[in-house]
Amino acid sequence: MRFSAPYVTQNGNPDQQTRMSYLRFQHVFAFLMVLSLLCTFIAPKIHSRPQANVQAIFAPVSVPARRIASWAHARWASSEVKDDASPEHPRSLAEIERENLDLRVALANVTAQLQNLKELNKDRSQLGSARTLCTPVSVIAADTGNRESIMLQGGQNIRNGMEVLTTSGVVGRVDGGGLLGARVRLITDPGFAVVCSFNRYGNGKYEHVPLAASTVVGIGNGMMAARMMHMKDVSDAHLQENDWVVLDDREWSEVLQGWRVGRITSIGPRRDAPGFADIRIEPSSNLMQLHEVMVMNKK
Amino acid sequence: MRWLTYFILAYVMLGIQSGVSAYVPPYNGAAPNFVLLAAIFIAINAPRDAALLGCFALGVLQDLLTQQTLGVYPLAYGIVGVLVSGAQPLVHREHPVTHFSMALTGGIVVMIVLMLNGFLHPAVVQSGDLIVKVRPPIGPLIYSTLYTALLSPIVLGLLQRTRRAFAFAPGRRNRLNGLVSRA
Repeated sequence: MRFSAPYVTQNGNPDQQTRMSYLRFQHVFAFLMVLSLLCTFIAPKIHSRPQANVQAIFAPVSVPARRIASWAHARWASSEVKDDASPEHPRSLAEIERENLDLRVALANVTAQLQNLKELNKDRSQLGSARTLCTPVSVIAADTGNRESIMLQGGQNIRNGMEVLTTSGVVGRVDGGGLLGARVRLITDPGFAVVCSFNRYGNGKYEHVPLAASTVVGIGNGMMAARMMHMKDVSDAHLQENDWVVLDDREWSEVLQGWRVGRITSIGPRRDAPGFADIRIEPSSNLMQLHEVMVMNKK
Repeated sequence: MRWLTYFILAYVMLGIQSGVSAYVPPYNGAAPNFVLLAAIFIAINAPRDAALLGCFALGVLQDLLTQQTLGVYPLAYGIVGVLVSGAQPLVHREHPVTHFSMALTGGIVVMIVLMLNGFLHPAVVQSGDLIVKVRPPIGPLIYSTLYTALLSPIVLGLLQRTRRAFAFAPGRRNRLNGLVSRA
């Protein structure tokens, strides 16, 4: 298949062509490039909803490639599993088992109290375990560019805006769902904003850090940042590294409030805004390398 | 050029890209750009018009597989196609240094386009009176460019062995070649 019109020879020379056909292609290509330029820089908010379905077409190649890369990564590049409750001094198995028992008892207690409250107030019937409202879905691919998103397998009644999570934390929201697949924008994608509050978990105790909820923004490279708090407020509340960051955002389902978003990795002053803190937050795992997530698609 | 073979190449490279991109250390998004290597392969071998169209189409396909704004990759790969196909008569297509230099140049072009897009249109987050602008990080882009360039002699070398399957038409004589042959 040839793009331009068949060559019209001059003086019998097959290598020469008329200016006409060559100019036509130049015009078309120039138009396409100008259109791309406009989409890129002038009208950047154009998004394509069918993208989610198109991505699933590449699953026969992306899934095996992802599995091979995951195996190689686990073999040669994976880091040690962190003990989230005590990252700097990992605890022994016996201590962890004892904590698990304490947590099971506490969970049973809280669940019972919650059940009583639900019976008292029928309007809050949505409260309860988030897992029962979710469907597990496999991840088939990741973003091919420099953004942070993952692609889910289709056929699970997944719609735009649904919350996505794992047992260890919030993952993101569906941003383009379709029959063949769904794309999830991760919480670490630049510009993804969510309101969070801060808790501390250590020595078997779980307590709230006395600091007002603040907007946490994805900054790419698997990280988030909270940059809208005054340094004085952060210091007064004794916020410190390894504190938990949990969801406290009314735009998310009520059953997800308090779900873990990440862990504070560093606290420092903002260079571009004196007096404000730059708090870096990392999710519990690399969200781009997840094999399976839970999509909240049930009511 | 055989377009069926071209689309098979695009399908495989895009599938590999979407499968591997999350696992290359040290950053998310720092994976080598296999689609760019496919674009360079097409641009370095195909006649000019097919090369430009092929590179542009690869950009469109990659745009469909990323959260990035539509138009970024077609623009970047279109520019790469213009640069590489323009240098076609001057380079040795099989030489690893050619592959490395084309991949490095192409990677830098893609990096500049992505950085410009992120710089001109950052994500803006507002909370009350406070506004925070978030631009995509540069580190993963630099690593991606370097990885792509380092891998290019291997990937492009392997692709060069499959040139027959693409049935690239012989290139048009340009004025330079004509002058050289008459000299």
